Amino acid sequence: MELEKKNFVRIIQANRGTIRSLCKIYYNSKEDQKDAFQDVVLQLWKSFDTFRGESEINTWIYRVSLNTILTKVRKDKKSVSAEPISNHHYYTSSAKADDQIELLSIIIQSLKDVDKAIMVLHLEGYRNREIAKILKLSPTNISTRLNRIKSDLKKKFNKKSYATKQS
Amino acid sequence: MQLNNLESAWRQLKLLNSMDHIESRELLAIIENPSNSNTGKLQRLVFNMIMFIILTIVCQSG
Repeated sequence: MELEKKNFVRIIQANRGTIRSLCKIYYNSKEDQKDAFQDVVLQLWKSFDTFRGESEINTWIYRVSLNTILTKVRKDKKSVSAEPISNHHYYTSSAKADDQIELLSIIIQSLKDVDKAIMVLHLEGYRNREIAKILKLSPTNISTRLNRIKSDLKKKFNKKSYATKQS
Repeated sequence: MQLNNLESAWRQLKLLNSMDHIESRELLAIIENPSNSNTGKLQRLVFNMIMFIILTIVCQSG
């Protein structure tokens, strides 16, 4: 195996959890998730030459993955659409999945496509201007959207329901 | 609600989704034969079309 391919495979294997998680928050069916995963891997490979360590591997993975998925979602319009909190699905097959993961799944499910990406990048610890760079949006736009997301979630989840989830 | 509380949940979700190992050959197949991924989509499209035609015929004859 060529050294470049060997390095690429190693990077993808190390980051498979991130890529799979991103595919799952946008697509419900396993087939669609698999298609999205393949598209992301292919785009990562195509941009691997230009990567050259200018940004961190993590940032590169998020930038290429999210932009590929968002383009795909716009193209085929088959994404997991934003749903009311009460109609949530879970992203984990385990019935005993951690409460926090359930809560995260419910929240992400309720968001629109771009907002899901912003939310995930926020949880990953990126600052607004870094999120803006990754998603090719303006920092002001990110700030506005993030404030709106927080405000919406605050309305949807009152302290009581959150406390119930915690217990 | 504090979004920061969900950071650990996102980390756990990534960990859960990394449980299944992915073989090198699977990844190599994707990057070396990108047309193969389109073949799968085409197969599903053809299958769905055939099912649609069969169902249409069955419904019309009934």
